[in-house]
Amino acid sequence: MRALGTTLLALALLAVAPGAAQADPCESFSYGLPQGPITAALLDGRLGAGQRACARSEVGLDAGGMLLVDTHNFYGHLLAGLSLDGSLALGGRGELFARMEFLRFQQVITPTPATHLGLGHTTLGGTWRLLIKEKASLGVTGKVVLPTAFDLYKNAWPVGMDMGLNFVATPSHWLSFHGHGGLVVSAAITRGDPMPRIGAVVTAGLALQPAAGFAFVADLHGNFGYRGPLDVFAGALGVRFSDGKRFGFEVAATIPLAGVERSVLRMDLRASIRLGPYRPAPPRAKKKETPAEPEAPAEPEAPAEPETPAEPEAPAEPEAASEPETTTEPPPEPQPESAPAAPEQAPPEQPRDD
Amino acid sequence: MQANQQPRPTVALLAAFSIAVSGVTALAIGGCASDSCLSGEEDCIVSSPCDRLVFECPNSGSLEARLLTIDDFAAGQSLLPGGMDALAAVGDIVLSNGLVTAVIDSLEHPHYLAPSGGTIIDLGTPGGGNDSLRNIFHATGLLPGDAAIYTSFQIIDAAGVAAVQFQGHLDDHPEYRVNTRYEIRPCDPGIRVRTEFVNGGVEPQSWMGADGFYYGKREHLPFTASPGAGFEHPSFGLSSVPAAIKDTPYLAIAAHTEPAVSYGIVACNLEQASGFHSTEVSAMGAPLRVVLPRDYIVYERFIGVAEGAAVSGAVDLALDVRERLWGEAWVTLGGQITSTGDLSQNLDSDARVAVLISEGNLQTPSEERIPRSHVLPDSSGLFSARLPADRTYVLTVQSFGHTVLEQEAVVAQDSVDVGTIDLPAVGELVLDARLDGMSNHILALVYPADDETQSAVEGAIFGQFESCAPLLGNPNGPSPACNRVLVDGAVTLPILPGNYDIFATAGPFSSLAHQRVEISAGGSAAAVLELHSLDLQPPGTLSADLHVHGSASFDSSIPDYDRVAAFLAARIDVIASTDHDVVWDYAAAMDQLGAWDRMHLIEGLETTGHILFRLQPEFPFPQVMGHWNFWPVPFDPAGAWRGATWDEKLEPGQLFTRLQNNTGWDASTGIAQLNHPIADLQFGRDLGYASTLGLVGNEDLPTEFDGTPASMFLYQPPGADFANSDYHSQEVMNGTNNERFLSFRAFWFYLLNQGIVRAGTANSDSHGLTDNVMGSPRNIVWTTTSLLDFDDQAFNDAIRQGHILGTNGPVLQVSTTDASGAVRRPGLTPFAPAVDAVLSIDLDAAPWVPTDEVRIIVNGEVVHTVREKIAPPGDPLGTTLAPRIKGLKIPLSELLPASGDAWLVVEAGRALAASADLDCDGLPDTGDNNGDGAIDWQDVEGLTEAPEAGCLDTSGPLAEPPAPTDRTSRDYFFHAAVPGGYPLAFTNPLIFDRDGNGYSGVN
Repeated sequence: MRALGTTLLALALLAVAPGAAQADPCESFSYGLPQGPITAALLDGRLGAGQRACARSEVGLDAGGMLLVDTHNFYGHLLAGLSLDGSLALGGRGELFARMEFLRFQQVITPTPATHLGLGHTTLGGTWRLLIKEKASLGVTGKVVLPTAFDLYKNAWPVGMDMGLNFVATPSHWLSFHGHGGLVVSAAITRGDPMPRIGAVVTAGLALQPAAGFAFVADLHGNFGYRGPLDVFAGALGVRFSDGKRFGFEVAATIPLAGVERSVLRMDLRASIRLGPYRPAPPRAKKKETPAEPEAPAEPEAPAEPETPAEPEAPAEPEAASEPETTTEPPPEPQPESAPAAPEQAPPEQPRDD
Repeated sequence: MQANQQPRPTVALLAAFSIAVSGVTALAIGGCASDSCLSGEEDCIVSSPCDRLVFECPNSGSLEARLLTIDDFAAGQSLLPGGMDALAAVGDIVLSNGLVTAVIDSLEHPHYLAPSGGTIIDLGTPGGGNDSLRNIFHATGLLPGDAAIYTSFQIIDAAGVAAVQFQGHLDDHPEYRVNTRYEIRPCDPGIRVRTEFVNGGVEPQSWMGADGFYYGKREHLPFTASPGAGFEHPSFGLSSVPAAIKDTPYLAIAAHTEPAVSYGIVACNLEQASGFHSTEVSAMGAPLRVVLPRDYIVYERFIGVAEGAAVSGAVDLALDVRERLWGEAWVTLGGQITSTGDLSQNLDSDARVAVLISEGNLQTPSEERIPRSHVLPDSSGLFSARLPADRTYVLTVQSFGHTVLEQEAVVAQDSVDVGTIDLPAVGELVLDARLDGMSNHILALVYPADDETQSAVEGAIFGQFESCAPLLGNPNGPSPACNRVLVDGAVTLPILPGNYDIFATAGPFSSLAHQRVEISAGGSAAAVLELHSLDLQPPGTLSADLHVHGSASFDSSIPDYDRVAAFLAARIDVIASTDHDVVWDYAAAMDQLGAWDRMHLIEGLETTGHILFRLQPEFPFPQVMGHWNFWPVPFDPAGAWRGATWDEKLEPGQLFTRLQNNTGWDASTGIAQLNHPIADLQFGRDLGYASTLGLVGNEDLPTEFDGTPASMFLYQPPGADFANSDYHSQEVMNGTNNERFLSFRAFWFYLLNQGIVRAGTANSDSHGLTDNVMGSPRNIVWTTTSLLDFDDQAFNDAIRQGHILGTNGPVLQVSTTDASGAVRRPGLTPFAPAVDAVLSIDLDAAPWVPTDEVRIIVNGEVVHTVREKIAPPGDPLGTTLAPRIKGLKIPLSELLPASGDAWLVVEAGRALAASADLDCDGLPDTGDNNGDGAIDWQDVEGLTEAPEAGCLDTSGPLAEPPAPTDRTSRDYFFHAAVPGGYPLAFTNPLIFDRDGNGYSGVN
């Protein structure tokens, strides 16, 4: 636990570190639109699930459920939960995140069914972006899942961790790729068998963003060696919405296709509010190139909203910007809503306050 | 790139996570000391159970923990408890401290619901002859895969304890580990047990962590101390178990048949245990909960052994254990029951008086009272019971199934004497019966003679088991049982006041005796019933009941003495003892009663599927293959299953092979019998193989295996030397009320039409004095052997050949002539009939047996019915015999089709109840249950709305003939001697090979 505390302290200190203004693929997303891999994860506490590469300050409420049906063996497993999550951006370069499953309903359905209703698991983690290019970013991420489902575990308290690399690439405004790969480990604190497990996880997917406040997401997820040679190979689909400002919404499902995991489906509904200074979405070049579309001028992000600041020009127009050298500098900081200054006027050294 | 700025946080992040991973993993792996066998190490020792529980005694016996050898079964050895339920065999493990002996079955000797050994099969006092336990196994739930299967064991060499541990897993789930340690310490009045259930899998489980107590239905009454409980437990099915689960501080199990001990079970590591209970099974242990991967359940308990067959002994011990474990104080409440108004002051009868003691007061509704103990006074009426201190109790005095008095008692910290409680007076019946003027073994049945008496005297013992009118004793115990009494000389019975019809019977080949008596409170009446033998049994025959049970069966608790006395009372020549899953010889009781000269007993068994498995891979539910009888199977007094073999998870062909290979049963000379082929599930288990497969009577059986259920019938399963259909006989009549005759008969006829020719038999399937009357129905077997010089093989040959008449009264003799002019009786050997052959029929019956019609059935259809030519019987209680039909001859040409092979069966008795096949499976399923003269959906149980036209998804039941109401009628007399039955006899088939190429069925 001391090591975990050290980690958290180090990451907290990093949160105040200043960043430098650079082009950043993370800025090509609509401000409130969820990013990264689909959140419908198969393991408790989202252990082994991909974490977005882009740092954000955000709070979210997640309602999820998972179902396993094995009629042949008179077995079923129903899991549903409500979780609160939050993340704290660390200067645009990294983030700390936490997730608390504050209500967990779990029922094992057999002729003698048993039900748990209470607290679920807690997840703490962080991400640090190692490489930032104009259209891609690579980071390291990890998290620990703590056994806070106090009434669920009686004699064995499982602890899980994962660690790996995540990336995002945005070749265009309407398409982005994301991925995550790493190791996942878990064991139990118990007088019995801790049953340590270790596996490798890989998640890769893409998001199609036909409009600024809307995206389709598709992921493939593999977990190898954790509970079996092939723990799971799963496909995930989701849709994401945003009000063009701070609110985001994701509906997603993960469907195991092969492996030890026998769940039929994991579904998640997540609503989020992005915190910190608002940054409008970048103009969508595609729209400008298609004048035949009458909706193009009425792009919702910027002008329609009174509190929306002026459309940032330079940093959010990757096509217009010259390709920078490989850099690890953070992107330019968006302006606070209360000070809708033009982005080009923002001092690159301004400390983050999100 | 500004490399000099970035490594610091990145490295810090990586380092921090590395430290976190290392630290937490180290904590997980080594942070808690590995305990017991929870980690699954091969050489681990399971922790000692109930360590806080300490008993002291002045003289402790020697501790033993070892394998049983043949020497332990020698005469004079007294280590084993023995008794009605004893199953110990060579190779099993015994634990003893001189006060208590426990036998745990060898891994290779599983019993009942347990898929392996490692379970308690005997528990009692050394040499006490009082083992009253069927089996305690370990499970996490109801499904077959929830039972523990042990794969290794180790006798623990430790000072001061006798212990053995077993390690294994849940059946078919190696990832769910189970470890159990049994231990007895000096002075322990019972056995300590610790079981660990470890979820080493990857999915959450719903587990109880429980003992499964298998009772079997007709013996044990589990008693728990939760509101409204005691002996009362909510019924449950596969989908309603959760509602039946209750917490209790202890479970008391009493068999209520002497000699016996009772058992008090107390959890050591839980204040309350949780479970569900019935007369078939209890499951009690750690409460049901979600057990996630890596988590585990530990259940430690003490199973105490108390002398006597009452609950109170077990509860007394359980409260002692709880005081030692949890500091709960108890006090003794005592008193005396008197019956000053009775002629006899003897109160030593479960039915006469029992006292239920419940926490609460007189205003507390019964469903809110907490039953704490149940006590049977001794013969002088004295009783005492331990109870938790500082509470108010209600004493409910029960007599003959009725509550006769309730009294409140407040107890503090000291023992309480509630004084004298006087019972309402009852009467006394002095009952005697004679056969041909001599005292003899005779069955007497006592019935209320009027409706007023009926309603006044009907009751169930302790409110459990079936209702009896009058209730004279435990229906599943020795005589008197329910309303039935075995008489061999005069017996005196306490009985509720009223008017009674008393009948005596010595089987269908004797007269019936009847006497009406009036019994007043405090008064006495005598009944002496005279019976006379009647010359009805055809020469050259032996009567046989080929399906009977005694206390060796899990669902019987009639003592052997009473069982053999009932054999004798039924005047049966040959008994096939077919106890469930064990061979039993009744030798001691046969000796005691001098029965060897009067009957012949063939040892056998009824294999009884307990463990559900995927008999049909595509069927949505696991099944068992039903019940099968085998005889002769040599009895082995020291062998597992007493000479039988494990009979679970098999198809019939595999079972026949296992019997052939592992026992002395020989398929070429012995008998394999398909019992009650069409039957509903009981305890979720299939009773009849035809029902298991869902065979229908209107489609040809596939001759090649094509994966369909029907094709399994003629199929030879893997590893088998026999096909599933390679049995020799099938029950056509089963049980005294013969309720499924129409189904059994239709299936038998169907097989005959298919060319699958098996002998038809008629058996009582009696488990005691109450459920069925021994020898009713029975087989009349034409055989070359006799009682004086009995030849098993000759007798069994006759069975295999179908030289059998099945009957509960009428005696049919049928013959014809073959092409050579020889007389041919019914049998399974096809023959060509003479061109001018006639069917010759003689019919006899005792005067008390109504016989209204004779039915001639050809190829499954009734082609001729004889009614008018049946002579009327005389006085039903008389002794004069006159043939009902003598020498009736009907040309076969009038009965058989013009050409082709055929078979012919003759039946006699009452007209059969109307039936219909509403589900269109070719087998009758529904009777005119609402009595409106039509059989339709309105007769189907559970249907409240008219279904769509066509075949119904649900059907049944078949109508049982209404009980006669005229207490002076012949029908009533028959119904009294053959309870629930109706007169019936059937012959085996005459099989006509008219085309000269053998018999292979008919179209």
